[in-house]
Amino acid sequence: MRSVILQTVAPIVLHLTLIFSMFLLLYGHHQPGGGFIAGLMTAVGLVLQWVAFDAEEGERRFHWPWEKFYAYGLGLSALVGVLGLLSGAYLKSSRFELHPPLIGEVEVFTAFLFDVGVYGVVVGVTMAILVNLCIPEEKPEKESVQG
Amino acid sequence: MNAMLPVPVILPLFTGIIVFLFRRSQRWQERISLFSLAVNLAVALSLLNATAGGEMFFHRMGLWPFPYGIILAADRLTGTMLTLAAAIVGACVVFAEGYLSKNERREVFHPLIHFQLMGIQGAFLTGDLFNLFVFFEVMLMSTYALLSFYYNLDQLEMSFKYTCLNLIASTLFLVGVSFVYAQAGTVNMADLSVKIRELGPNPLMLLTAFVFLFVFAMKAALFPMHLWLPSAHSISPTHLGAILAGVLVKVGIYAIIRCATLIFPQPFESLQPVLTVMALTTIVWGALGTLPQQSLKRILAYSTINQLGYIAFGISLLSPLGMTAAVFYIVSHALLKSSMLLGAGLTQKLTGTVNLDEMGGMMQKAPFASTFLLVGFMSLSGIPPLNGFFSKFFLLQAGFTQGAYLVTGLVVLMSLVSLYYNFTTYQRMAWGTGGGEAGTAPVSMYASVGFLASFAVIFGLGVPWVYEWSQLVAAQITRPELYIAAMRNAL
Amino acid sequence: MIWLLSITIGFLVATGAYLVMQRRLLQVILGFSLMSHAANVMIVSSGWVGDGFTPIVRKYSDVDPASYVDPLPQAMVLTAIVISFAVTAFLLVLALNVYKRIETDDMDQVRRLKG
Repeated sequence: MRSVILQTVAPIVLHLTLIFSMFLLLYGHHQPGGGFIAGLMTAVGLVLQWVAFDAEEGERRFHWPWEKFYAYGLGLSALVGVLGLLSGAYLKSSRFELHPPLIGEVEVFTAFLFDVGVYGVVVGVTMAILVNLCIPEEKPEKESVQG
Repeated sequence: MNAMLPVPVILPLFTGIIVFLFRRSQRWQERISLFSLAVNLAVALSLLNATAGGEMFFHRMGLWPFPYGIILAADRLTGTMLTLAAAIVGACVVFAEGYLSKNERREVFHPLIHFQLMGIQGAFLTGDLFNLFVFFEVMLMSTYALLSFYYNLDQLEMSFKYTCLNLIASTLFLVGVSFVYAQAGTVNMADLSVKIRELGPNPLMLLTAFVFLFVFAMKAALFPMHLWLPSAHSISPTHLGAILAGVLVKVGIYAIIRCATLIFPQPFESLQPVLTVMALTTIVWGALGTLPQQSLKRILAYSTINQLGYIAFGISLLSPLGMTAAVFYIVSHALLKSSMLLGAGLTQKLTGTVNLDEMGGMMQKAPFASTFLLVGFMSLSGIPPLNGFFSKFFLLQAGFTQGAYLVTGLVVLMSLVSLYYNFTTYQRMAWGTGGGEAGTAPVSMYASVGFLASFAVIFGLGVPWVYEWSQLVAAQITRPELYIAAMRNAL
Repeated sequence: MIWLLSITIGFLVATGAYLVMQRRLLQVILGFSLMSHAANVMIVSSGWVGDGFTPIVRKYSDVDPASYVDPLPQAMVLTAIVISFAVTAFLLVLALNVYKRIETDDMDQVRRLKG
């Protein structure tokens, strides 16, 4: 079931979703947004490629190590939590005010790094689930012979 | 000590991630995994030591103000359960190193077992009802995956069944949380305890308590919800079966204890008949269920159901005496049953079967393995110098002291049934002839079984100390005002 | 409005329960998914305040804090949704594997094959 329109639009939409997900990721401390929803947004853009083309084509275009995304993401989030121990308790978020040139005053929270970790986990897990559900017929038979 | 509280949660988390990243190198995976488990056991022991004096520890995640944030709390019960979990899971991983052959999906095994441990220890530590749900799910998620370990059809079906049953329980847990939140406006256990007492007895709160009892009874395999346990024990890999029987079901029991003593003390007084009936039916069902079984693992699984009934009976007395007996029972049964399941795994490794009819003459072919199992069976059936006798004895003592003669009489009767099945099982397994030659097994497997089995003797001989400790635990948990006051003071 | 929520919850549970009692694995999974949605809606409704505002504090708003909807259940629901998402994905993978082994997703067939 190939649709030319979808195949033309899907890569463009991917760019838009990526930009929007970055916006959500950066925006979400005081306002709606954050790592989870940004990750889902990115994943939706990627899933659309799988839908528009087929699983093999999607695999070919985005053959990324998704398991590393969630492993490192989880590690980052947990590490940020440990950093919080320095300021009192596990997962305690600290606030810094930076004054980079030309941009002006920027508020930075360590919770943002936590959100980046969550972003990695969500993208990685969603795509790993998708890729695993899309494995072509003969592939798993080779791996799972035990029992 | 307060800053150390998150360690039992963070350490397995990090180990899980690192071990996952090292999945190409089995040797490093093994080393990191075992090192982390050793550190974890040390942390648990130090927590046990720190809580021994009656002091309680609290850790506010993210330093949120008192009733809103997530709180980790540790009292004597937590310390005890953490130590049990750390010791048993550690022994099971050591066992699994010998049990699994070289390329049997190890790369999945180590990360999952650490995430499972994280869930278990988090569930023991948390002081927040919703967070309990989250840690339950972390624990269950890894269990689902570990249950379908070899990916054969039996395991897939069993894992599907187990997942579905637990999904029902999880959904009900959420429903219970929403009931609680709508009424009390908090999910912090200490705060809830106060608010629920203020609200006084009302039918909706009774329903809420019943929902929670149902949910935790599913985890603890009490009567109507025990059906998943036998197949989960017998089809899953042995080391997982040992963790299931030793620790996972105890998490359910632990949650029931927390509900009955801290969160819903008054509604549970009304629910006492329900809990008692559940406990008795579980005892009867478990004892009778062993009789027609052929597989050693299935017999042990039904015996677990039987024993969980005893523990629930101790809790259902809702008194310090009953709680003491229940805590004593939890400690001895967790170590005993995991040692026996590992023993069954050892015999499986040696002879290639768990079917009792195909065994025969194990005492000659595999003297060590059958000695460990002999200790276990004797302790289970209640032969005096071993701890199984004392755990039943204290339970019956508590029952008779409180005047529950009829109920306790039934418990005595069922102990006789368990005496019968334990001895026939052992007889069919160890004596007689038949069966093929026994193979060999690595020393690490013997060591882990022996380590856990030795507690049957140690706790049997050192019964005054263990009983005194159980009394201390029970004295602390049956007075929720201590917990509430400690939390108020600390935060 | 709370009536609408109650009816939604009831409808979700009824549909979910019906689907769970079917024989095919996919329907069972969808049923569970619907039931957990019902539980999620229930949690959201436990923080219900009449005509509450969305709990996002803007800098210069002069809204009385008491008129906001309670944000804690919404945070809890996010967690619950993620968990049910993960469990559903796991069940789907299980069902897919069962399907690949026996080429049907009828649970009765699985039992029959086991004998």
